[in-house]
Amino acid sequence: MKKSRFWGTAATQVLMVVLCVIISVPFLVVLFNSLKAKGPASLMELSLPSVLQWDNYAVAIERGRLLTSFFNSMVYAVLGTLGTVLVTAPAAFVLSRRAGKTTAFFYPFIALGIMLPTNFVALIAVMQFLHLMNSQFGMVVLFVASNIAFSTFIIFGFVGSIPRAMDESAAIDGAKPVRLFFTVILPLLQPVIATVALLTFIGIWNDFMTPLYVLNSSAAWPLTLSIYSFFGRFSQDWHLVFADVVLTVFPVFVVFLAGQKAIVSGMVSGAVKG
Amino acid sequence: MLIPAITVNVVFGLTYGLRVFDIIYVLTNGGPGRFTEVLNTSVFNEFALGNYALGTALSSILFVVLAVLAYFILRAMGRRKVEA
Repeated sequence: MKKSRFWGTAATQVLMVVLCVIISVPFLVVLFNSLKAKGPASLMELSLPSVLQWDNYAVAIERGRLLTSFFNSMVYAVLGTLGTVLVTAPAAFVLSRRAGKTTAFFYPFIALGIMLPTNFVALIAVMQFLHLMNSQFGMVVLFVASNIAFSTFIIFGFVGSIPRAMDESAAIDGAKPVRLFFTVILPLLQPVIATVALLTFIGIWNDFMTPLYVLNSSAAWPLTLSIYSFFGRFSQDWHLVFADVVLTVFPVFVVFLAGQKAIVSGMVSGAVKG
Repeated sequence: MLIPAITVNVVFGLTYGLRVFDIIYVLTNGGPGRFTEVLNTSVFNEFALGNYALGTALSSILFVVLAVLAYFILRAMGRRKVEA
């Protein structure tokens, strides 16, 4: 009996290893081929590079103008995340605490924004009217606006789990509403804000469609667009394309690894109670 | 007990699936022919060609479809929660 259990566990382990290998093969292909010379890389084999060509990265950075687009991506992701949190945390707090006719009227509108698609043609007409097209500021504003729905929804669910007694005791101690929110409630919201900030950051970093519609000039392009045009121009030079891909994925990969735990825990605590 | 979590996942999954754009645009761009085209890629193609009216019309269709779907999913899930 003991023996059969051993074989059962061994089979599961082997299956897991096989699945892990299948998942990691594409990543390894990209990583290995980004370090090869032009000829071997175009074969796209899963083999260790014979000579490490670190030059590929330098060439990809220089010819793809990655520094500009990396800076742009950072601006969009960091400022967009900050703006989203600053706008949605107070909004969710008020929506959750003041259960009245007004909030009952507005909350479904915000929650619907999670599911409904953006009408980009109309959006661009609005952006042109407000002179926000083709500017980095306009992109940040747009990203904040498009993330309001999801973030408010997640934070709203979490605010319900903070006891009302906290607000009341702070109010009795003489805290004005603004101070009450920033010194008492905001520290308690920290876990869910970490989740929202990480998801927003990764979402903006990976967004391809929004900048494709809004930005015409390549000076304001984020990494996703620059890698797309890089692939168009250098589709013969796979070693450069792979190097470009590695450089693009790396920052968001680090952010995700650092914040993995916060994403999962905050999602569960916020979403379910919503 | 799990119904609220499942509701959230179903809604997110469905709406994301109906709204995919980047993977299809980058990999096949709707081709060969129009076999892999989804609403969002055709909206962009019409927009790129300057057919703004057709683009908004397609967007509005997607909007209506998603709104109806979301309404029925939320209602069905809500009813099951009451029964349990």
